[in-house]
Parts: sequence; C-alpha cells; structure tokens
Amino acid sequence: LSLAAPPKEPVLMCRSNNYPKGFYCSWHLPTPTYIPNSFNISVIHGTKDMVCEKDAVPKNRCHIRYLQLFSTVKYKVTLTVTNALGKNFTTLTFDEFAIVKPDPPESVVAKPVPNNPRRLEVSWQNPSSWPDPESFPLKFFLRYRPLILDQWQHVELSDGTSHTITDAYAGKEYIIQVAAKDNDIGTWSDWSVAVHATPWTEEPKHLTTEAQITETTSASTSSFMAPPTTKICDKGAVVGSGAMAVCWTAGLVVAAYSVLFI
Amino acid sequence: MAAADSPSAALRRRDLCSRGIRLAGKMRADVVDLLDAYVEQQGLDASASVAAVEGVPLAAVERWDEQTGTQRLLENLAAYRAFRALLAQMLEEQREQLGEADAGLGRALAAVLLQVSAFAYHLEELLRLESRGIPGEEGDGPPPPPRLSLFEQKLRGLGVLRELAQWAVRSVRDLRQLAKPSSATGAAPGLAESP
Repeated sequence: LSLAAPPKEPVLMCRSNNYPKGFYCSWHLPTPTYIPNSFNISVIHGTKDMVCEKDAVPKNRCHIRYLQLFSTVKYKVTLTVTNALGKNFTTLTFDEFAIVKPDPPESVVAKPVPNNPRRLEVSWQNPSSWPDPESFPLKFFLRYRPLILDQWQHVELSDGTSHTITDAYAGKEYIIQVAAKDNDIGTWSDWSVAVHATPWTEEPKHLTTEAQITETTSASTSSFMAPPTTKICDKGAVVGSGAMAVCWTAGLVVAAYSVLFI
Repeated sequence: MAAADSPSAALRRRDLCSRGIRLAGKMRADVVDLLDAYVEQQGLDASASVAAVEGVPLAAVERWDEQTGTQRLLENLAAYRAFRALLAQMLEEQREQLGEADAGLGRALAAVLLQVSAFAYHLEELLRLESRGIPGEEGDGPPPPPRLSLFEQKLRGLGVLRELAQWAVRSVRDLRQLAKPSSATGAAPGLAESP
C-alpha cells in the first residue's frame, strides 16, 4: 500500500542543444506522489513573459524559441507542481550562453589504416539536432585508450570531423569516444557512443594458405585479412551510433596474434 | 579599388573576416579575464544584475539571422566606437581612484582598450572593402553623463565589461556570416542615417 504524498521540490533542467534556435526545459519529481500531479512552468526574460510550448512526447518537457540573441539579461524559469495534497516549486536562473550543450557527435566510425600498425582513423558527424554548424561551428574532444588500460588519451580538435590517431599500441583493441561543444560558448556534450577498433597488423605469411581457424570477435575490428571465399562482412570498419556492430569473420585468425605485447 | 563582388574582393573579405574572428576571440578571452579581475578588485558580486546603462551598446538583437552584412558591420562599428570611449573613461576613473595602487587592473583595461580600437579599425577596413563609406564619429553618442558616485562607477564598469564580452561573441558570429561565400552585404542603409 503506497501512501499518497504532496510533491517534493521538483528537479528542473534547461538546456539548449539546438542553439541559436531555442532551449528546452525538462523536469521530474524526486519521489513519486502516487496521485496525479499537474505541472506549470513560467519563463521570464527580463520583464518579458515567454511561452514554453509543451512537447507531446515526453510530457515533462517544453521548449522556448529565442526571441533575442546575445542578451546579458538572464532567463528565470519557475516550475510549480501541484496535487491534491499540496504544491511545490523550483526556480532556475541562467544566461543564454550557460545552458548551451550540444548532443553528442553521431555516426562515429573508427578504422585501421592499412600498412600502419599504430594508426586509427576516426570520423564522426555533427549532431543532427545542431541546426547551423556552418555559422555556429562545433569543436570536438576525442578520447581513446586500449581496452587493457584505464587511462584515456585526449585530443581537442577545433575544426573538422575526423582525426587520425598515430600513437596507438600495435595490435591492441581501442575504445574511442567523441564529445562536442560550441566553438565559443556553453559546455561539452556527453560522450558519444563508444566505438572499438584495432590498428592494422601485418598478416603472418606462413599462415595465409593453411590454417582454418575461425575468428569471432564482438564489436571489434579485426586487422586480419579473411580469405575472400569466407568473408562475411567488411573488415576493418565498425560503426557505432547507438548500436555496436558485430563482425564475424570466417578465416584465418592466429591465436598467437592475440598475445598482448606490453 | 576592386569591385565589392570581384573574386579578389571576396578573398580579401574572407581574409579580413578570418583575422577579425581571431581578434574578436582573443578580445573576448581577455575581457572575460578582465571581468573576473574587475569584480574581485572592485569588491562586487559577480552575479549582481546591472540595469542597462545609458550609452552602453547592447549586444542583444532580435532576428539576428535576418541582418544584412552591412547592418552587421555598421552595428558592430558603432558598438566598438562606443566601447572605446567607455573604456577610456573607465581607465581615467581607475587612475583617479587608485593611482598606482592597482596598476595591474589599469594595464588590463588599457590592453582591452587597445584591442577594441584595433577591432573598430578592422571593421572600418571591412566597410571600405564593401565600398561603403565609413560613418563619421562626430556627434556619436550622448553627451558625457553627470559625474557618478564611486559605487555607480563600479557598477557601470561591470555593465560595460559584461556587454563587451557579449559583443565579442556576437562579432565572431557576425563575421562568420560575412565570410560565407554566399554572403552579400545587402542593400546598404543610407549612410546619411545614423547607424
């Protein structure tokens, strides 16, 4: 039996992931009340009331269009929640630049570079929610590490949507992520979905015509060349954008090459 | 002078815009540092709201994306000319108040003033490139305001620096718009009009 309760102070968050079009605010209650609640949101910019249009889905979100840009006047957002047993509210005050946070980069791809045992080529796309990357360019932060180590390497990139890692450990599987930020204002996005890749390694010549070892690997790029007759999927590229691709390669895999060189 | 739409003019415009973007970016970084130092040394609350001060050009703009290139240049130029005068006044007040006691803040103010002057000149170059006349400075701005109290001076200084930081961001965006290959400065407003 759950007892109905008045609402506790709601949790409110506002963010602009589509600057300079506008921003959205979303909210939730920290603990359930077990009875219906109604939410009312008000947005004031200086002395001007602004309309926060509620989204159909999700229900606990609304969005505001910017009527002005580059204003030093702060926005004040007040969310009031009411139910049969009481009401509560919370207020957020912020300026235009502070809440700008893009969505993570999309379509991150990492692949080995043929004949380069220490390189990985990484590319990605601007988040599709960012409306005008030409006028409001994003910069990017890339982090990568071999799976066997905990420490990340970081690279900040002020332009372009690709980067070649040149100091990868040969033969080691890497995990790679990218984040984005408006070039001039706001904060970094969350990290993108992680992608995995292993640098190219030279194929052992004495095994090319003999072994029939099947390699299975989950969400990782194999640098080994599979015999054409048994190739099932493209070697080398793994795309991660909300899902990890599983690449099965029937062919030559030498167990010795999975020995870790440290 | 090459026609405003000739290939060489387009290249020159892109070059000036790129350099202007770098200037504005550096200026913004220095203004933000200066703002932090100013708030601390003047004993102000960084989150204090400052009402719009007469004579301080507001960066806020409606329908920013609909502005023509000429409008952008003229509004930027008017703003930075105003900031030049305001910063010079702040520097003078700073010297009167503190003499040599706070040379660091004075030097930082002077450095930003220099950047603002350089940026205003840069905007004039862009306007010349577009074969637009440069609006005269005579009579720009209201007459000097009455002498303010020390606290009022500090608050005004805070307002000036905050607005300048916003303008620096806006200028970067404006110059990026101008640098686009498809950008046209658009029909110029009559230059006899005040910007």
